[in-house]
Amino acid sequence: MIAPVYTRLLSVPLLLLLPLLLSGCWDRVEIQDRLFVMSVAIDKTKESSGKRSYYEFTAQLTEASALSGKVNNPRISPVWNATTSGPSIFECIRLMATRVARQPYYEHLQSIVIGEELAKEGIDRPLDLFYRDHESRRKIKLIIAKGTAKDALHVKPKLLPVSGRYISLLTEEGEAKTARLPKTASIGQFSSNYHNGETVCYQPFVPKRTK
Amino acid sequence: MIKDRLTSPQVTMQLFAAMVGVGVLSLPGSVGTKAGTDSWIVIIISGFLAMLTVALMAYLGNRFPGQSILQYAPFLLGRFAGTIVLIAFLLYFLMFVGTVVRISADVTKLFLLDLTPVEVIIIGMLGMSSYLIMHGVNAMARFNEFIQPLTVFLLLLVLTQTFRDTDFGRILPMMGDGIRPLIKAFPTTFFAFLGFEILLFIQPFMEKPAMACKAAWFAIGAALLLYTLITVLSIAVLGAKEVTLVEYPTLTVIKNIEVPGAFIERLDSIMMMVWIPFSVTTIVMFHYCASLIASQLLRLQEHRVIGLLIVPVVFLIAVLPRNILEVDEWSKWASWLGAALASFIPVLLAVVYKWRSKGRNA
Repeated sequence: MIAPVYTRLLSVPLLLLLPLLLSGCWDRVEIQDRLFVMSVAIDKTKESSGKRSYYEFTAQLTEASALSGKVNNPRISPVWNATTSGPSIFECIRLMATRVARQPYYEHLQSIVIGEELAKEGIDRPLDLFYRDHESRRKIKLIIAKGTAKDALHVKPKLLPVSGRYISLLTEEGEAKTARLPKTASIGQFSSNYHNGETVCYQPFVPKRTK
Repeated sequence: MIKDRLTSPQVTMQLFAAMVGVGVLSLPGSVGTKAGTDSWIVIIISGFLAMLTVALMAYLGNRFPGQSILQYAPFLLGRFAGTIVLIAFLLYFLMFVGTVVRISADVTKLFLLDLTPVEVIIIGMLGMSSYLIMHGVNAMARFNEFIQPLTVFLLLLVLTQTFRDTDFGRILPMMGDGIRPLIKAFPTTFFAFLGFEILLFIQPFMEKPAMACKAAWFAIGAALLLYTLITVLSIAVLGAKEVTLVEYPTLTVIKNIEVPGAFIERLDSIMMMVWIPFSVTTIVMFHYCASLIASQLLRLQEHRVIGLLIVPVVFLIAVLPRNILEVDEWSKWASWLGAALASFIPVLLAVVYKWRSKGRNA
């Protein structure tokens, strides 16, 4: 059966549309270009600094190729705790672009550490972004640090290279093997409990003083 | 004119495809803001109401075998009023396709294609739906028969993983605030079932039009079960307050899953894989019906050319809203128009039909 004339005429522009798809994936990001954020620490900025900013936001960035030991340059460290400060967490994350040359990738975020000062004021507002953002998940561990959260990220665990991962594993193990850590140690759980008016309790993670 | 034939399971699939669309992601939230823990009760009530309406539609279709609303609306209401009804339906379908395309493109952009312009995703979806409607109602039926069971199966498989985090105590209390929240939430849930009015247009394609009512009931029943399951699970995992706080509760529930030690740890990409076919099939069905009406209004033999010609119109409707709030506004208007048409027009037509046949007998 021969198609009618108009069908054949219409098929030409449709066919011309097809090569547009040949350029491939626009949204590709190679894994070596990703800068994984393993942990995030949120503190209240000190009053004395006189700045307008409210939150001090530290992201633990890890370089995958340096972690795997492929980079032999001693100048390049696999883990970097970069800090920004701003009136909202979103702005802090965006300001990260002024510190780090590459775009941080939050989908593998393991833990959020909150500083003592901020925790006393309430942690619902700073966490709001993490409940809703499409890059974060609800199973991110939530820890309250004694002192500042930034110091907690500087813990140097003996066996694991990244302290954010160490903190996250610690809460998991602590929950499974002992009764000393509460079960509701993820931001999703916290959010559900908090907004439904249920009880919430958290065990602080005490940062070890680095000598 | 009618060459394509549909079996009644195919009609069930078509209606299910038209009903279950973009709403799956946001339904628990939009109902939850109004009805809270009673969301699932409202969903069931409006599902049964949709069944009633669809029975009326099937009744009308059976009185006029081989004809769709395109033919019997002008016949019953007169040329002028019938044309107005058809134009209203056309407007509703075009607006609905536009907003559905826009919402699905927005969400796809947000979760999967970060850097792709939203216009490109819209063109891709509309291109696919135009290609499908070129081949007529039978090809669409086979497409739905292939896609729907697969996606529903995958969705249910993913949802089984959420049971670990559920706390069904969160669904209680039942009817704690009386009946007012139920009434308030009712339109929202009824909108979720919109799409069954497709039956007015595809019934003449059926092999056994007498089975239309049963087929449509199956479709609405399936959608009802799916919606209730999703809403109950969302509330049980997140809690009624939290459901209203996050933007896409269904996706959030699925993001909550962490399959321990499995090869695929995150299941939200599977959810997106399920959700895109849902929205595409909705677009296809509405696009097809819009082109049917347009071809009838212009007295064309075929719906194919007009089906392509309404693509630019739909594209314009889709890119016109500037942000997600305006999209919501548009989709609210489209839904109100649709709900009004789907519930009042069949009643009106049935009343006129009764009145006329009584006049003829006397």
